[in-house]
Amino acid sequence: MSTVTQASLFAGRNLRRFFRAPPALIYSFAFPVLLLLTQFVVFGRIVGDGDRQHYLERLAPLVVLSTAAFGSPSSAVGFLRDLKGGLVDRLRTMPVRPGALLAGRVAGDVLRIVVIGALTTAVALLLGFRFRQGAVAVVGFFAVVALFGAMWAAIALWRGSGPGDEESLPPSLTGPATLLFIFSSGFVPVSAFPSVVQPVVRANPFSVATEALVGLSAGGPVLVPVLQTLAWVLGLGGVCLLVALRRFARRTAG
Amino acid sequence: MSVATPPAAGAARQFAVLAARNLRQARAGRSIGLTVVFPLTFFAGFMVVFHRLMSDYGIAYEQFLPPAIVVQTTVLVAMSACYMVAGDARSGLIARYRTLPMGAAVVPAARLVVDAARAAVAVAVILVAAVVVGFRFTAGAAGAVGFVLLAVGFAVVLAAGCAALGLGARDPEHVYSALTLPYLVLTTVSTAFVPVDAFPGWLQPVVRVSPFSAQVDALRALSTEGADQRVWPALVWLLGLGLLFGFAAARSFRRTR
Repeated sequence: MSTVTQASLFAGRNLRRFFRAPPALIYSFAFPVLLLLTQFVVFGRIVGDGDRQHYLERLAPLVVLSTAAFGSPSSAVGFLRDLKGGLVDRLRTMPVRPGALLAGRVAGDVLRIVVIGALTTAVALLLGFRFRQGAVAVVGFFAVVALFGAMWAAIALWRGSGPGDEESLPPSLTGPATLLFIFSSGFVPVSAFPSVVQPVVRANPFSVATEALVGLSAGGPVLVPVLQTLAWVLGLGGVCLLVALRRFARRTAG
Repeated sequence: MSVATPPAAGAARQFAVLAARNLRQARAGRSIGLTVVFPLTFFAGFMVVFHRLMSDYGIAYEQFLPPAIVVQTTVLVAMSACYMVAGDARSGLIARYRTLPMGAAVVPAARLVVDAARAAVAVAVILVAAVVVGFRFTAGAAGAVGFVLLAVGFAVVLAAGCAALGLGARDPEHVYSALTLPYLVLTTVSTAFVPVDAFPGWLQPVVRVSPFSAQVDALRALSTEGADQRVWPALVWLLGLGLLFGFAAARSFRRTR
């Protein structure tokens, strides 16, 4: 079997596991939708300066992106269980390439994130969110979501392959994710932050990816924020993936 | 009386042993991060993010936000109680307690008293941080004492409700994630983070009757003007929820095998 076939088998397995656990499934879909609705009604007037729809143009992309970050704890725990539960040891006795399992996890995560992101986008459309840049931009929108999802999938692999147990992993991911969410240009405009914090807010991966999605939906700059997002994905995601690969290779070799 | 049955320890001693054990459990688990570090981080984050926007809206956020963070913290204390109770129910510890010659009230009392203590510590930490950024009790010591008592009372009532859920749960993780959804909705769709007039008109009646609004508004009254008519709704909710959750917790405790 080629590596791609192996990887797609693992991706399918991970997705089936996800769709067959109803409580986790309901939670994964309900959380972003409720997050979008609550932030919209609570902060829409004050942050949008009286214009809720104006706030939605930025909030919706941010919440769609957050599905990638807030799904990463369960993904990291899933990988940890694969490593500790004997699946990896079993695979060592079979002609499976080490990269296939990791590639399968990333692909499964990205698919899940895009599906949940699409559902969240659908709810945003009901609230009045609009794509104004044509069909190609819609495809680009979800391509950016997928890229951002791949970064968080790599982060989950890094966390799941490291020290840490099922109890300490989730807060170590949701804590930073919550902070990044709050300190992003999608949550409140950069100009509302104290000026010392503004450069950090602008560089936040959530901010650059939100700007890219805003450009591809409501309109605005696209090229620069997409390149910035790409830099985050390749830089942070790449490093996390390399570390996870090394840990994984060491484990399968020993 | 020839068979040597060692006398059971007194109720006070039993309570002390169980309470000490629950404290150790809280210290070992994720509870400190969740109930102290997370609210502090959230407080700092919201102060930085919203201070300027809220002051444009005419609200001094350093006085407005701390009661909201206190309520949020007490909810998190209660939610972590659910997680711990569910773990005890699943591991068989509660069933084991049942076989021991203990008073019926010792196990629940040790749970709720420890939850009250955890809430008091978490609230104290938030208040110190709040005072550092400019929060003040302008209604004097009586208001401050009422503030802490009301906050801790709310935590205990919610912890009883969460314990009822935790006792019936097979998987603590699922209950915990399921609880984060009502937590998100109930804490945000209230006067915790923004005043009621910032909500869409159709939602304002819902915001006004929310128990979380009642609690936050009462804490705001106690920290500024002192006990006034804004405290009554919180006390009514506290009594009502206390009866409801107390009954539910007692019921699921009796049913636990």
